[in-house]
Amino acid sequence: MRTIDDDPKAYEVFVQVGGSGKPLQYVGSVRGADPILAWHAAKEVFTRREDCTQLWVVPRAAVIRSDAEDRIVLSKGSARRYRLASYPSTRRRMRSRSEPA
Amino acid sequence: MTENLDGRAQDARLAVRYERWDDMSDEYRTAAAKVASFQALAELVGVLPFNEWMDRVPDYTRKQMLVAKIQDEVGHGHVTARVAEDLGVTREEILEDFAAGRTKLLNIFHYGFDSWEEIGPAALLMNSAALVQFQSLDKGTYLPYARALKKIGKEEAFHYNHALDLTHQILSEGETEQRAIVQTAFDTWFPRLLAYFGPPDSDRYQENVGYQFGLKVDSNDDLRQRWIAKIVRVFRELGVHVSDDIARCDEETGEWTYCKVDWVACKKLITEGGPKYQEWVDTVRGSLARNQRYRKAALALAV
Repeated sequence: MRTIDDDPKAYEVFVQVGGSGKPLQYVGSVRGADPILAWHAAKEVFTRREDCTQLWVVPRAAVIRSDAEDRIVLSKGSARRYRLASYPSTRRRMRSRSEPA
Repeated sequence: MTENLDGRAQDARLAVRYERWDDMSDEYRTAAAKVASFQALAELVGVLPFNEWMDRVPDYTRKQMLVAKIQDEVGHGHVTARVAEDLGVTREEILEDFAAGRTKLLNIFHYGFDSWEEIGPAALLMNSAALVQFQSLDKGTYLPYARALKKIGKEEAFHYNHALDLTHQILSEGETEQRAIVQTAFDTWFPRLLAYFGPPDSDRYQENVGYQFGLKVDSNDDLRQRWIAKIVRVFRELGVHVSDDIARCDEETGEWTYCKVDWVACKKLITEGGPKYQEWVDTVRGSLARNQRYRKAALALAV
């Protein structure tokens, strides 16, 4: 894990489209001389079609993102089958199948 | 990689994909920056032939749509320039290189429109070709560029439909003379768009750096075929005559044969500049000079 990067004028852009309940989505970046100008640049470039309910810009240097070597750890979720909803259900089905008639 | 391109070889070429922060070779970075900056310039200069018509649009709704299209294209210039900037090529360089005559323009952007009636069919050919091109490139290996293209594609779909509707309106409500301009525009622009996809595939097209890196996904000829198959039908349904000399489908193979492209003339156009080239260079140069003091002032005020 590490922070980046070298361009102090770069801002990452996040939008919420499809309704106020939806998660924000990363869509790209803009450059801006200051945060307000960056927000306006993002508005012009990224909110041209769908209704947007939230528009965030984040200084690139403030983002702490995962690295290539984090990928293995991050993708462990589905490897732990015993945590998935299907796991106990499967066990239950197997159990009832093995019950004597 | 000269062996023939079976499915597996293609997958391997496109299998490794990159985010901005991933380690990549200098060659890859340079090639990706070149693709993105080339498109940024095409978007920004490609808007100028339409820009000229902003004050001459014959009805208000069309004017609104044209303004929207122009704003979209400049936005496309922004997103592709951002991709290039993150790879080390600044937006200033993209524009200054063009103003100084160091970069070449795609053939189709060397022309302007002589009449309002020409814009519909010409834009319809351009937009459909761009969509075919982008829907291929967005499967490429540099992910920020691929994402930019997906965003661009959404807006291009509007441009396509606008051009289709404009052509349809002229053909259904226009005078004989206006309908004739649509036909002439098709006959003039169709070969230009054939050339837009680039030279025919040589035996060695797979050695192309962009192709090997999976930045270029399909071959020129494949894209050209895909485009013709889509657009000829559209124009025929609109009532435009597409003669066999221009494009004809071999019913057995499904392959299209099409009119010969004069590649020598096309190369000459790109290197020496077409009818509107100098005007666009002057426009960009003038705009950079005119806005310099405002750019400086804005940057000085920024916190």
